[in-house]
Amino acid sequence: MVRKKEYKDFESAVSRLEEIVASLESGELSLEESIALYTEGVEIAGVCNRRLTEAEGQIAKLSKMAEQFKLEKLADGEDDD
Amino acid sequence: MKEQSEQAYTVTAVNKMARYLLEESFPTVWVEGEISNYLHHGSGHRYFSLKDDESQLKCAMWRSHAAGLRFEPKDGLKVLAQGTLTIYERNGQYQLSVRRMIPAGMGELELAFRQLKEKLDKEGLFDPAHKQPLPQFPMRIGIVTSPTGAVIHDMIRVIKRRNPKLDIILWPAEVQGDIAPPQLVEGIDRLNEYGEVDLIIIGRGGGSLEDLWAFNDERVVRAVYRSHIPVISAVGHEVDLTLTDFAADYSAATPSMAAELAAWPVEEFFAELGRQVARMDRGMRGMVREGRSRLTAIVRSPAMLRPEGMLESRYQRLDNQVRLLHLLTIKRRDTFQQRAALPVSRLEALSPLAVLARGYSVTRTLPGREVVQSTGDVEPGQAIETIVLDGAIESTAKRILKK
Repeated sequence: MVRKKEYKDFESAVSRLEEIVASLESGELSLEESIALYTEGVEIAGVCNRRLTEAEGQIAKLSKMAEQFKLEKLADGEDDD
Repeated sequence: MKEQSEQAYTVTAVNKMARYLLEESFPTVWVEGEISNYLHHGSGHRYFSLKDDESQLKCAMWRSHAAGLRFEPKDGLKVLAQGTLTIYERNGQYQLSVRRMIPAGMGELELAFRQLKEKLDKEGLFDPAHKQPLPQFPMRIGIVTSPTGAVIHDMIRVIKRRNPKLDIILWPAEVQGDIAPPQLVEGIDRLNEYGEVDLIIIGRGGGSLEDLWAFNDERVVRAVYRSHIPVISAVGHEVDLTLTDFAADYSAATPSMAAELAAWPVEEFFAELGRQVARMDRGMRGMVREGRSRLTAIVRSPAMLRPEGMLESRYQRLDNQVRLLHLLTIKRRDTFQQRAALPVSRLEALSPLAVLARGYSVTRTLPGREVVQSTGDVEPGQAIETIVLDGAIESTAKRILKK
């Protein structure tokens, strides 16, 4: 699945983060490598955090007309129960 | 005239007449029997016999009618066939032209369900090895179901309650009747083509076996099977099992439970993120601690504790070098001075001062300060200066005496 930069989805972001944590905990890295990994990890956590914070959670109807996909916003559905 | 009427009919005419008689006498009959010699012809038509203990009846089912079959007829199956008795004129064969056929003794849908299940199972459509894991943190959830009714609202409510950050992408589809299967298939295929959903939920609310039938449709089951995006099926209530449920990557008991499953709680994710970062911090602190203890070991090494020891011998060497350099410099300066003294005395010999020192003088006009070299350079009464070794004498020219 594609990739908006490296961590398109939370799955890959979190699994990369877990990898980093495991490496850091193994204690087998040089200080330079550790710092690089740590920096990457903090960055991933930040990206996840930001993406989640910014997510709006839209509800939309998808259709396809003339080879074009179209998203049409739907009412929230919370107030019409 | 009589002779003429007793003349022989053509074969075609006889068959035609017999056919009319037969078709008029038996416009519609239901016949119960067991299928034998079943042939599904490449043209789409079906040919077979119905038999009981004593007799057989030839049957044909044309493609247009066979399309309405919900189960696959086969030899040995007891069925009820409805149709018209007729004669196939080309070979004079008497047969039942079957319009509808249902299994005898068992529900038609039930049989169809069993048959299709067996067939698709053999093909591997329900193989657990083919099932994809559900994404742990899907951000966009595709839903294929009816845009109206309680089911979609329930699902939206459940998802929003658990995780308001998730996108819900609905592909509206009929979920009942003959138009439902193509629309359900389109929903799954289009969402795959669209690609921007992490998970698909396909489902509908409860109903009779007939109501749920679209989810036993072979086309729908195959679409679910071929989806690259993981599919959760959610058809009816807990007890309802459809072939779509078997083919899906995960079968939820109800649509609400599918929504519950798809919508990971956002708070838990933040907490997990925090835990991972904390572990990273701990790991990093460990590294720093280790680095520090290595540093301490270095600091406590003899070289660090008594650095003078290392320096002393070097200082000595340095001193020697400096002294040597000093000596060399002095020597070089002396040589230079000796070499320089000689040209200096030569230079002095050329200086005008030396000439003056020998008693000569230089005369210049005033105020022009042009050196006087000839009697023509000065007129009587002109001011002139005479430069001698220790100064100058200003005077006025009295007379010009040319040689």
